[in-house]
Amino acid sequence: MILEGGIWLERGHQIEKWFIQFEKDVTNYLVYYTGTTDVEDLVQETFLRAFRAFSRFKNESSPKTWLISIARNTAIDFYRKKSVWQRLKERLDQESPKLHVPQTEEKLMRKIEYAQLYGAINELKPNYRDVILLRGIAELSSLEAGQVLGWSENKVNVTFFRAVKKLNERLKEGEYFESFIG
Amino acid sequence: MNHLSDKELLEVLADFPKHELTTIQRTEMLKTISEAESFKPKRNFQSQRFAALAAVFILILITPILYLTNKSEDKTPRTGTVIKQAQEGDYFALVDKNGSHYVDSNFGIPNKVSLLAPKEWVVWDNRETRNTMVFLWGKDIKSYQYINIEATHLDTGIKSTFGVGQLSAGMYGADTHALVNLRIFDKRGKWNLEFIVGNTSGKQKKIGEFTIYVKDHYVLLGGNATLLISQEDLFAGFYEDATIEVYGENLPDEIELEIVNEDDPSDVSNFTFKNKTDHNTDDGKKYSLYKGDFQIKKSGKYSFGVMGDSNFVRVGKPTD
Repeated sequence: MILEGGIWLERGHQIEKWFIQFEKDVTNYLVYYTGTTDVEDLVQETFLRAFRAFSRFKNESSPKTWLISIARNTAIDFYRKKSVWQRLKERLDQESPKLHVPQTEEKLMRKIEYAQLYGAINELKPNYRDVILLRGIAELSSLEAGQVLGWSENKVNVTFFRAVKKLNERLKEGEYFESFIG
Repeated sequence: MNHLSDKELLEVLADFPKHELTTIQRTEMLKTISEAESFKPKRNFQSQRFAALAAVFILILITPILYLTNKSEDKTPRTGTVIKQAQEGDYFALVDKNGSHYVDSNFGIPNKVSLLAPKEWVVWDNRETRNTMVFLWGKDIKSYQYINIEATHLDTGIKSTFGVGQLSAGMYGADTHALVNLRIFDKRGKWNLEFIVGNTSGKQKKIGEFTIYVKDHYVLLGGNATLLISQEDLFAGFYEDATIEVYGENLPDEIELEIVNEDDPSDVSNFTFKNKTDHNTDDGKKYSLYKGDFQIKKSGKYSFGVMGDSNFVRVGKPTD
């Protein structure tokens, strides 16, 4: 029991250490994944889940990748059956006219051109959006993004390539290019 | 330049504004994590043995009293026991200085207790409530550290702990809130949910109780797939934008829902489900969600299946 208690404490210290180290990454990812800055509870739940599931962390992925994976699952669970992407899409669909930039993006972004790009990313299909946010916002490698999504590295690369292609098409439709490409 | 390359997109995204918690939020969260550590009993073997002996001694002392008073609080009541329905809960908005929150999902008793409820409570399902938020109100609520939710099934009287959580700061106008990991319901029907707060000194207080209705389980499509519609909501008609959940790896982009009329096996209908999204559970299991429409022409006995696996399903009439 003493040994078990010791492991328990060690686990807590490790999670605290990771919290200090990776809280910003987790928070930033959750903000862009959910489209809201109100992610405090999701961040807390991510680290509490990590604490409870610590024995399942087997160093096969980096702690950051593992925490981002838990954060994504936490957000999905929290936002229930409808995926976050669908909720965002519904909100975006309600916006009229089409080119108007939604309130959420305006709040998240300082630059309007970034808001437009973020809006276009949110209009992509879920797998494309997922892979772009993991590679671009969470700054994970293809291998790490694959560990989060349960995909092979090759599948991540192929999906990312297709996602960028589709994003370019959307941006072209919206004539957004001139605003953020020099 | 007329389009973004992979590399350019990553560079632009890396330049997006960064978001992080405030210092106060970070400090509070670290406190919560360290409190989670202290939840594990740290007594050594000697003290545990002492506690066990003390418990046996107390039990010997109180057994005659229990026998004589016979005020049973059994978890499974005797035949004929009637469990009264608690107060009806209702949906209400959480209101603070920033406006209204969770208008259509916060359910409970205003100014007492509420939780973020799913659109429907369903047997064997906690997809939406695996982690949910409970809000509590009360003057002295901040002197308590944890919350217990006890659930009692009205038809059988079976009682079980439905969820526990640690109380945190006030939020959205409530005096305190807690993230609670809820268990699944294993019986359909009405359940009373009783919310009890407690502290480490052993002091407990009941905050409120309300009743919810739990629907029959979702339609199972073989061993790995589920149509996310309650069995009791399945009638003849057209179903739009339904969801099928399939556990497994390397699943196809599209699947076919096959509905076979058991009374007339030549009556087979196939419906395509697509818009696949991939997900992982916390313990690493992979699953995908698909969206699609389907139609059931009349009530009766059917076989519902996907990917070569199926289950018997009885489609009732609305009057059943």
